[in-house]
Amino acid sequence: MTPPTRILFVDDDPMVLQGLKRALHRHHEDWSMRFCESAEDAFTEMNHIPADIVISDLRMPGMDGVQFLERVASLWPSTIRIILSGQTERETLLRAIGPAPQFLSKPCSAEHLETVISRSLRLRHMLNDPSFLKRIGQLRNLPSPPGIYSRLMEAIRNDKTPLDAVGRIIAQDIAFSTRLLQIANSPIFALPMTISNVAHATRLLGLDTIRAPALTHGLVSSLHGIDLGGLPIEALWMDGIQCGTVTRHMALNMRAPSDIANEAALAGMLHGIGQLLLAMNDPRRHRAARAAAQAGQLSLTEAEERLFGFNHALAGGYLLHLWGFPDAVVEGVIGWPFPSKINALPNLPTTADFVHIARVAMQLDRQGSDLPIEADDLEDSGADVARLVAFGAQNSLPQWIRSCPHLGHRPLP
Amino acid sequence: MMNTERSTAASLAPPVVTSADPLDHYPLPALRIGVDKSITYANRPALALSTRLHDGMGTLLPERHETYLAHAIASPEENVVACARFYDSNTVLQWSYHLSADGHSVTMFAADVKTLTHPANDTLSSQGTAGASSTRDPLLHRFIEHVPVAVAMFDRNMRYLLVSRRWLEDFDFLPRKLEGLCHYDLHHIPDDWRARHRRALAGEDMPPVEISFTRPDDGRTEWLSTQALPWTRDDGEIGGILIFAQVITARKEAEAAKESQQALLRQQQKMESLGTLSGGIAHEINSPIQYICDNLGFLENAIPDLVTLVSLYHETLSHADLPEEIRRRVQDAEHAIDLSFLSSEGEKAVHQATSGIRAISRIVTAIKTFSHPGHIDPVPVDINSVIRDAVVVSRNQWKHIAEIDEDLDDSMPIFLGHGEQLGQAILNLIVNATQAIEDANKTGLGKIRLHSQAKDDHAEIHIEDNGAGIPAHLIDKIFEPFFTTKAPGRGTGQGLSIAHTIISRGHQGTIHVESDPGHITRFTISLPYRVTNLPGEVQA
Repeated sequence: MTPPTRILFVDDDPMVLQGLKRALHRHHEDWSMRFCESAEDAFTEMNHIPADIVISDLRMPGMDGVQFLERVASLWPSTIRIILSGQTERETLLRAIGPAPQFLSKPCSAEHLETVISRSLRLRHMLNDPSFLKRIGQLRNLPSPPGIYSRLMEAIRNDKTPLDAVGRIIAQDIAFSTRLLQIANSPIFALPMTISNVAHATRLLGLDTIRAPALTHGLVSSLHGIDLGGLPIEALWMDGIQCGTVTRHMALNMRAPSDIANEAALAGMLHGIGQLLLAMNDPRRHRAARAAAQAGQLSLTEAEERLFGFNHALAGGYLLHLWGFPDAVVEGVIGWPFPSKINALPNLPTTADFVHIARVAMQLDRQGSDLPIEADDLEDSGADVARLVAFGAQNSLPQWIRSCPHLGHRPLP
Repeated sequence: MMNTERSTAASLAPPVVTSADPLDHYPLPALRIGVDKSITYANRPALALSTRLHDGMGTLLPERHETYLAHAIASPEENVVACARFYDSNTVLQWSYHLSADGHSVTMFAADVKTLTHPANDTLSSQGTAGASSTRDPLLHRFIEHVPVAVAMFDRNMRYLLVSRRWLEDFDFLPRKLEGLCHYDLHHIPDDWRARHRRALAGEDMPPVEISFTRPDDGRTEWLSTQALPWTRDDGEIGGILIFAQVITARKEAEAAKESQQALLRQQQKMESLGTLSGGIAHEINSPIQYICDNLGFLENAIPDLVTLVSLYHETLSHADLPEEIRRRVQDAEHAIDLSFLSSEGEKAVHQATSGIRAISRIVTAIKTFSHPGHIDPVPVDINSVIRDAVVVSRNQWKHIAEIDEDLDDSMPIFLGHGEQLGQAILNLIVNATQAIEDANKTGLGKIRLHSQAKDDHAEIHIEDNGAGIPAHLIDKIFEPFFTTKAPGRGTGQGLSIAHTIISRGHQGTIHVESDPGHITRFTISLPYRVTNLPGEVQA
């Protein structure tokens, strides 16, 4: 029998703790739950017996949630960290991005909490699986998070004026500034005006959105001069950006709350990042995979699976997991090629579903398929039809595509 | 101020070839003379002047008028005015002569008959008219003519003595000559205006007032700033009044537009502070809601479990061999707490408490998102949830007056827009519908139907009510700022105008209304999914 999962709850309101204790009591056999009324107590508890999962409030007297989670992150890096806060202000949310991978706002139903916890455990289980680690171990070369990305995250977390700080950091990097303006002005964003300065671009795109380009840009520039086997980086770039914005649109259309849609968008933007990883580790083999995919019989991920034993989605998700990205993003990046494979709940769309549907929409859009869409067409394009049908996406997709400002650079029917 | 005569006179300039001559309706004698001096037209009052005219058209103009006719043809710039009899008529009339634009004919008008039959009665008429003054005091004439304000000088009987060219232009008098004519004969002057004139004639300075009037020709509403002052003669007596008038329609319209923008801004600020407040409240109540929900969730499972267990005990009790006393104690306790009621109601109680706390949570969230300080840039909007939030937030307004039926299209896509502003617009329309139902004074609850429909490239939203409705003659005005049919205090008349501004200016959408008063009034909003150039926040 597997040992129970150790979960530690921290909230300065004892009523909240007791409520959680009662509501989650049905899991008492699988979960060993502890409850602390202050970060200090929780810290003592952790020193005594570390927890697998820490769920903490943000605003607490004494050591606050952010400080507490930062210390947990440095001392017990494998502990899953979740924020459960009554604060919904964006600023606070952004500050929490770095140290706390998951953010849940109160009131949060017991069911949702259970979903998040089980997803984290599932991912953890998968990514720590010895056979997986053996396969992914071929990737000897795992880059560390790019400097510009770390500096941005640091600024967002610690600066009182994150937007200004981010603007300054970006402005120092001319190559990235240029890149950011290029993105902001691309038709994908469909912004109503021409953006000519970085601060404006940052404000318009939002801090969440900027994370992905910062990461990709940093990674790409660190690979300068390295043989990538002719990987079309430029196309990959724009494809990622577009996928992110379309993912957000699809998620919102599927009635996801905006914070979840934003996480999904981040996953969408980074969904192809694993290609860089595969190409830098084995440029020739990845080129062969791309050639096979171009020949038309296989999708790129399938070709990669044959040649590497795993695909770039998995590699990318693994990398982001190592870099401390939220589980929702990691799950999206790993699961997008075929969401059914990640064992999510049948009736609840995951980040992977949102990215997947965005990819399907982009493909249909690029093919200029006639709307409405037939199930056969979806099947042929590699869509996870069962998931699409489960969320009514099959019928609504034409409408979602039409209303999406980031798609349809072809005339509307 | 204007009546049909004015517009008739205004249309004189080009030679009229239609069978109905515009001079037909001129109340005083008027004729049209060809350059060959033959009379080509005479109106009814002119025909009444002399039997000579009854011989038919083509009769030559009396000789005594020839000089003036020649003068009018030779110098069309000048006002040619003369007092003369007409044929055998006993009346001396003041005539003015105008060359037509094409130069082929001259129109001659007569001025007020009464005035000139008794010239001695009025000191001023002995001084002559503007025409006369043009010869006596050309400088004064030029001044009056060119002063860039609409000004007119009247005698005690409200007859024109002098007018500036601007007066003639602003009120479409050209090319008619007004001097000697009575203001009240030429125009329909409302009673309150006449009262102001009387007070001025009695010696009072009437300060400027802003008044509106409807142009009879095209029905446009115009605004006027007007002032009436008495003037005194050499002997110190009041000789009449001066009227200054300025057309301020453009300014008034700009002011109204600005006011509606400001009203929108004020409403936004109000919503913003409400948003800050409810954001704070939301934060404070989120924790209690968290544990109320958790505890209710716990009870929801615990109560049925306990009930099941109790019935198991019951069963066991009936089989067990127990002393009568213990049995009775159990029975008494069961009776005292009414066990059957507890078992049947406990679960329901938790259920209802849960739905209550969900409602609270929904209201707080709705108020918060609804009144969230506006994003400057458009954000993805789910119009259905915008509609639902507006219904929740306005519930207090309509719950005793109407029932709301929501029929929202599930396939409605997300599109870019300003959610909180759209919510404002829909809220205003719901409030408007509610008040219309109140106005209808029917018994029982009225009906409001909110309907959304996803079209190919736009979202369509209907807001229908079975209230009092909008009469056909007002339907074009209801989106104008400050237009209201409501009693004072019930509305500022800005709600619909704000909704219109938000939808048309903020979202490049359209809003229109159709009404069958007493049956159904339907507002239809149409919002395009994709907008080429969505502006930022709607602001002045």
